[in-house]
Amino acid sequence: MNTRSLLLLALLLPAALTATAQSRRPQVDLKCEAHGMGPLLDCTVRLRGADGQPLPGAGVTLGATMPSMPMAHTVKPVKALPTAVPGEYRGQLTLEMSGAWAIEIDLTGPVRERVVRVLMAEECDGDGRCPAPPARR
Amino acid sequence: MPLEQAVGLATDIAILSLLALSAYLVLLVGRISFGQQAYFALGAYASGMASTLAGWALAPSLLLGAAVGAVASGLLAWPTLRLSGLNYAVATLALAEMMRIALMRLHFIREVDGYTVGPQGAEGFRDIRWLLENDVSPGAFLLLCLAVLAAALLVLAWLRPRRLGLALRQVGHDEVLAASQGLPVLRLQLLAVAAAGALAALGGGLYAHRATYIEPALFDPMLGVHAVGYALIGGLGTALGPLLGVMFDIGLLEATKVFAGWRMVVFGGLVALFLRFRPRGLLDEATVHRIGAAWRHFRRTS
Amino acid sequence: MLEFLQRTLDGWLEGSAYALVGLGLTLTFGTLRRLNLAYGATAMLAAYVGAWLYARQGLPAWGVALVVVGLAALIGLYVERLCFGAIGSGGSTQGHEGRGSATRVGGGFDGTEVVALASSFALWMQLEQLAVNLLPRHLNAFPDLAARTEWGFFGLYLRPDRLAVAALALLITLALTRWLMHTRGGLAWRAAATQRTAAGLVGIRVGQVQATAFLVACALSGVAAFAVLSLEGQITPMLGMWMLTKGLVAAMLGGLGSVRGVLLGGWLLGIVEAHAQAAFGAVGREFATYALLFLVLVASPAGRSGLLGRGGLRHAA
Repeated sequence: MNTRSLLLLALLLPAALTATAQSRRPQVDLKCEAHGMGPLLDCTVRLRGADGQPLPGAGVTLGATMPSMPMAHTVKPVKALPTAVPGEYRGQLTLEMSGAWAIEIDLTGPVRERVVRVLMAEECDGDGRCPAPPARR
Repeated sequence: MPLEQAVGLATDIAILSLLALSAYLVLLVGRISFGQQAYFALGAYASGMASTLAGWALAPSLLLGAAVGAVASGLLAWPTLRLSGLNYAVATLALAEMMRIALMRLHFIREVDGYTVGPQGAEGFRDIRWLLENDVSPGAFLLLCLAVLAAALLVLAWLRPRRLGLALRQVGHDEVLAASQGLPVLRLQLLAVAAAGALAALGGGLYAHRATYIEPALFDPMLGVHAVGYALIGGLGTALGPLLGVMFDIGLLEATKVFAGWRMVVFGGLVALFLRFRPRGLLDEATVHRIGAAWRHFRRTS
Repeated sequence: MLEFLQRTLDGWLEGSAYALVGLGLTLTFGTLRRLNLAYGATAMLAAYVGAWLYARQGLPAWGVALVVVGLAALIGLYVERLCFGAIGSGGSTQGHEGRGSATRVGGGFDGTEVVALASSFALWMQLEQLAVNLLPRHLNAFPDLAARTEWGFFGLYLRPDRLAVAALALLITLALTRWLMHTRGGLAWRAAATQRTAAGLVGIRVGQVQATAFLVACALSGVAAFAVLSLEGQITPMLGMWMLTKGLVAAMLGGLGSVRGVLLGGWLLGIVEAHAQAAFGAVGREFATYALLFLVLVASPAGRSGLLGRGGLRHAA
C-alpha cells in the first residue's frame, strides 16, 4: 500500500460515518438573570427530550465566551446542578464585562448536545437583578 | 483542572496554532498580514455549510474550506502583493473587514431533518453538529486537530532545508537581493500567501465544528492581530515559534488566572518587556541555529 | 439636492473629527516612522481616568480636559520608553536609509518596525484592560458639552459644537504644518525622521526629538478623545479600537505621515461614509470605509500612497 492509497483511505473513512445519525435532539431552554457588578449570570436550563418530556439526570456544563474574542478562556465553565424540578438545572457564571455573550450549554449523559445562545448581559444597579435577554442584531 | 476542560483547552491551542502558523507563513516571505482571520472565517463558513447543509463528511468539508481559503487568499494577493510592508498590512486588514461585513449579509437557510439550518447573517450560523451527530468524542477531535497541526508542521519541516524552503526564506530576508539572484519573488510570495490562507481556513473549519456556532463578530481584527503577535513572540526561526507564542499566551493565561481581571495587564506588560530584550522572539534564527549546532555536536561526540 | 448637501456637510463635520483623531497617529509615523498600535488605548485610558474623576470626584469639564490631555502624554511616555525609544536607538539599521537592509521584513519595513508593532500591540491590550477595570460598565458618563441648538442657514443645519471640533482640527493641522515646515524645531523633527545619522552629526539629539514628537502626538490623541467624547457625553470600551481604526484610515487615505493629508483623508472618509450610509445603511457605511481604504492603497502608484502621494515614508507635512 503506497502513500497515495493510504491518503485516499484516510479521506474516505470519515465518509463512511455520515449516513447513519438520526438527530433526536433535546429541546433546550435557557433563561439567565444578571446581577451584581460583574455581572454574574444566574442561568436556568430546562431540558426536554425529543419527545417533550423533561430530561433529568443529564450532565450540564455552562460556558461563556464573548463573540469578539473566540478563544480567550476568560470565564471558567461551571456545572449546572439539577434543582428540585425534573429537567431543570441551575448554574452561575462569572462574567468579566457586560455586553453580548455566547453562552455554551454542553450536555453529557443520556444525550450529547451542544447548544449556543447569545445573550446581552448588563450590570444591574447595586445588588438588583435584571434579565439577560437574547441578543438581537 | 478537570480533564474535559484540559481537552478543550488543548483543542483551542491546536486551532489557534494553525492560525498563528498561517500568519507565520506570510511573515516568512516578508509581509505582515492582519487579515488571516478572514480566511479563518471563510474556512469556518465553507466547511460548516458543507457538513451541515450538504451533508458532507468532516474531512471533505475541511478540505473544501482549505481550498476556499487558498483560492481566496491567492486571488486577493494579486493586487496587494505589490504594496510595501505597512501598506500591505493595512490592505489585508481592510480586506478582512470587508469580508467580515459581507458575511453579515450571508443568508442561506435550508431545512435539514426538520430543522432550519444555515448561516443567518449577523445572527450567526448555529448548529454545526457533525461531531455530535457522529458521536465524535472531544478526545477524538483533539487528536484530529493535533494530527492536522502535526501534518502542517511536518510539511514545513520537510520543506525547510529544500530549495523551496530556502527560497521562501531568502525572499523574506531581502526581496531585492532575492530577485537579483533570479528567484521568482512574486510567485513565491503568492505561494506562501495561498498556503497561509489554506492553513487558516483549516483552522477555521475545525473551530466551526468544535464550537457548533459561528458568527461574523468572531472574526474581527483582534484575532488576526493576535495571530501575528503569537508568531512574532514565538520567533520566526522555525514553524514551532508560532506554537510557542500561542502556548505563551494561553499558558500564561491559565497561569495568571490568579490575576483574574488583570490578565491582559500582566500579559501585555510581559510581552512588551520580553520583546525589548529579545526582539526576534523566543525561537529566533540565531537560537535555532545554536540549538541545531548543539544537537549536531552532541551527535558527534556520543 | 438639499439632502445631498446636508449629508455632505454632516459627513465633512464627522470627517473633521476623524482627522483630529488621526493627527497624532500620522504625526507619530511621520516623525518616528513607526505605527503606534497603542494609540487608541492610550487616549482611552486617559479618557477613562478623566471620566472616573468626573463621576467620583466631580471634576469640572475643563479639569477633565486637562487630565485627559496630560495623562495621554504621560502614558505616551511609558509607551515610548517601552516600545519605540529603546528599540529604535539600538537597532542595527541605524543611519541606513537604503532599501536593501539585511534585517528587513519586506520592502519598506525593517525588523525593528515589526517588533515595535508587536510590543505596541501588547501595550494596547494592557492599557485597554486597565481602562475597562477602572470603569467596568459598558456606558459611562463623560462631561457633556454638546450644543443644545442647531444653526440653520439656507436650509442646511449644523451643530455649533461639531463645527468647533472641525475648526479645532483645522487649527491644529495648520499649527503643526507651520511648526514642521517653518521652524527650526520642526526641521529637527523632520530631519530626525528621514536622515537620522546626518541629523545626529549636526547636533540634533535624535532620541530626545523623537520622544518629544511622540509625546505631542499622544497629547493630541487626548485632545481628540476629549473633543469626540464631550460631544457624546459618554464613553464606552469601544473607544480604543474606534480611534485607532478611524485614525488609521483617515491617515492612510491622506498618506501616512502627512499632517495635511490626514485632514483631507478624514474629510474624504467622513463624506463617503455619510453618503454610503444613506445609500446602503449602517452595514454599507462600514463596508464603504474599508473599501475606500483598500481602493486608495491599491490604486496608488507603487511607493507612494494616499491622496497627497507623499507615502508616509517621506516627511511629516
